Amino acid sequence: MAAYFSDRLNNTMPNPTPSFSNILLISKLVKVLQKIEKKQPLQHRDRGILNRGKDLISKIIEGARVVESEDFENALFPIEEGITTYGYALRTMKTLNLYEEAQESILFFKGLSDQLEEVESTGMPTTKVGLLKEFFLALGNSFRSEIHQREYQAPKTFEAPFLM
Amino acid sequence: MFSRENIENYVIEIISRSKTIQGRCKKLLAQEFASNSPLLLAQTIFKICHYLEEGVIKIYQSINWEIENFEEEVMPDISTLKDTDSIIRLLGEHLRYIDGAVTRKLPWSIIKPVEKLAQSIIPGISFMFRPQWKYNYSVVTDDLRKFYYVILSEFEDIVERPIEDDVFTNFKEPFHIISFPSIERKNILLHCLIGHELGHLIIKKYKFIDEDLKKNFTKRIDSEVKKIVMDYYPKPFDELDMFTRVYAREEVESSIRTVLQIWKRGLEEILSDIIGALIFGPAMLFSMYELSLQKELDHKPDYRNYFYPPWRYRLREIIEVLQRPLAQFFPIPAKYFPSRKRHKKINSRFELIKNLTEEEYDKQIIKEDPLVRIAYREIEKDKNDFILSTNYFKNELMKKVLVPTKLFKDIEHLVIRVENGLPPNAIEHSVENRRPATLVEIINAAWLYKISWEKRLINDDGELNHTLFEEIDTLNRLTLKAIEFSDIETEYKKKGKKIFQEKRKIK
Repeated sequence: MAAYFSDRLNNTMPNPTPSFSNILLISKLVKVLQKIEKKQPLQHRDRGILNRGKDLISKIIEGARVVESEDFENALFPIEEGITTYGYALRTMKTLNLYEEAQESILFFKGLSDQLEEVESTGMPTTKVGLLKEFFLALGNSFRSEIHQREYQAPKTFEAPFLM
Repeated sequence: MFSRENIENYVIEIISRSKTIQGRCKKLLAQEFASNSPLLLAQTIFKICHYLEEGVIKIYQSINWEIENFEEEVMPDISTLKDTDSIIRLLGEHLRYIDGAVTRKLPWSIIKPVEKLAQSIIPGISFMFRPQWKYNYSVVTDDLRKFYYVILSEFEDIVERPIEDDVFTNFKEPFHIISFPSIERKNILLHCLIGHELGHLIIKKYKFIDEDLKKNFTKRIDSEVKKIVMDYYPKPFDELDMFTRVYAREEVESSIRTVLQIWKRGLEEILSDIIGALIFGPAMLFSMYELSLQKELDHKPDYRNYFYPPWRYRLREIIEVLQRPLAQFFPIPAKYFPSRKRHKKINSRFELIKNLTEEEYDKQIIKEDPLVRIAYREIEKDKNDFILSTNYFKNELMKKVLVPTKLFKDIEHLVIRVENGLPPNAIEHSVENRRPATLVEIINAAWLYKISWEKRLINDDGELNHTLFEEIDTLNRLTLKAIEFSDIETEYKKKGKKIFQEKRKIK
C-alpha cells in the first residue's frame, strides 16, 4: 500500500520561488526597524514600508490558516503566495528556535503584526522590536538562499530524459 | 566581514554587470528584427538596468560608514545589493530571448503575420517569437511586463522616480514569449502548433480554470479519492492508531492534489489543442500527428511527463473538433477536389489518423490507475463547456473559428499553385478577381499538398530519392514566401483603401 502511494507524495510540482519584491521589502523593513530602535523619526515612506510589512504578515497568516485548517478542501486551495510565504516563515521560526516558544504559529504571527502596527503608530521601539528585526532578517535570508540555490545547475549528462 | 573597500568593490562589480547588459542591449538594438517586440524588450531591459544602477548607487551612498555596530547596521543594505545583483544577473539571462529573435534566426517572413493573428485572437497582448535549441514548442504564460513591474516597484522609494514614466514608457501591454524548436525554423508546416501555445495564453488570460472551478472539482472527487486511499488500510480511519492516521491523512491529501494536478494539466493541454484546432483546422491535426510520431502514443500522465495527456488521446480530441456537427471537415467532399487521386489521398490520411485514435490503448492506461481514471472521467464530462460557455468564445474566438466550407472553397486553387512551384499567396481567378489568401488557408494548402503528393522515399531503382528533401525545402520556402506576400498585399490594400477614402473626402 505504502509503495503504491509513496511516489505520489513527490508527485507535485516544486514550490514556487519566493518573489523578489518580498525579499527587497524585507531588507527595507529591517532598515526601518533599525531606525526605530535608534529612535530616529519615521518618514512617510518608512510608514509605507511598515504597512507593506503588515500585508506580508497577513499573507503568512492567510497561509497558516489554510494549512492548519482541518478542512481538506480549503487546505488544498491556499492562496499560493500565502502558503509559500508561510512555509518560509515556519522554517524561520525553527531557525530562530521560536517554534517551541510560540505555542501556536497564527498567534505568533498576529503578535508580529500587532508589534508592527504599534511601532508604526508611535514611531517608538517596543520591547519586541529586536525580535521583529531578527525574524525579518532570517526570513529574508531564507528567501534569498532559495533563490541562490536555484541558480546552481545540476551537472548535466546527455542521457537526461527528454521532457516536453 | 564587511569593510568599505569590499562593499565598494562589490558595488563596482554590480554596476559593471549592469553596464555590460546595457551594452549588449545597445548592440541588440542595432540588429535586424522581424517585429518590434524584441526591440521593445531590449529597450526595457536597458532601462531597467539603468534604473537599478541608480538604485545601487543610492544604496551605497546611504551607508553610514562611521556608525557603531557597522556589521549589523549595514546588513540590510548588503542584502538589498545582493538582491539587486541577482535581478541584474536574471536580466542578463533574459537577453537570450532577444538574441534568438534576430531576423536571421527566425522564419522572419511569418513573424508579423503570426503576431497579427495572435493579437486578433488575444487582443491587448504583445508576443515575441524566438527559436530555442530544446526541441519543443512552448509559451511563457507568465506576463514578463508584470514580472518586471512588481520587482521594480520596490526600488521606487530608493530611486525616488516613478517606474511607469521612467522604464515602462513603451512597454505597456502584457508581454509573452513563444518558443519553437530551432531546427524546425523553416518547417512552416509544424508552426501551426503555435495555435496550441496561444490556447495556453487564452486559458490563462480568460481564467478558464479558476480557483472556484478547482474547488468545485475537489468537492466532486474528494470522497471518492479518500475511499480509494483508505481501502488500502486494514481499518477505517477512525480506528487507526494516531501515527498511521497522520500518514493516512497525508496520503489522502497528496492523492487529491495529484488528481487535481492531472485534471488541471490535462485540461490545459486538451483545451489548448481544441483552440489550436478551431483556429488552424486540419493543419493542426496533421502537425500534431507528425509530432506524435516522435513519441510514445500511450503514456500515463504523471509528474515525469508534467502530466501531459497521451498523444493518442490528444489526436482523438482534435478529430472530435474537426468532426463536430455542422462543421465536419472530413471526408472532404469530392466537389472541392476535382483531382480524384488527391482527394482520395487526403481523406485516407485523415482515416489513418482516425483509425489510430479508434484504438483505445491510452484509455486503458488511464483506467488502470484509479487516480488518473477519476481525473480523466471529469475532463471528459465538461471539457467542451469550458470553451463553448465562455464569453470569450462567444465574443472573440467565434469570429476566428475555421469552418470547412470557407476553408475548402478555394483550397485546391492554392494547392495547385504549390504544385506548379508558385507561392500559394492568393486566390486569383483573373486580374480583377483575386484576393490574398489567409495565413490559415496557406498553411492548410501546403499540408494538403504535402500529404497528397506522389513522392516516395526510395526510387523505383531502389535508390534514396535525394530530390525529395529538396522538394520539402522548396515547399517550406514557397509557403513562407506566400505568407509574406499575402501579408504585404493585405497591408497594401488596407492602406490603399484608406488613401482612397481620404482622397474622396478631400474632393
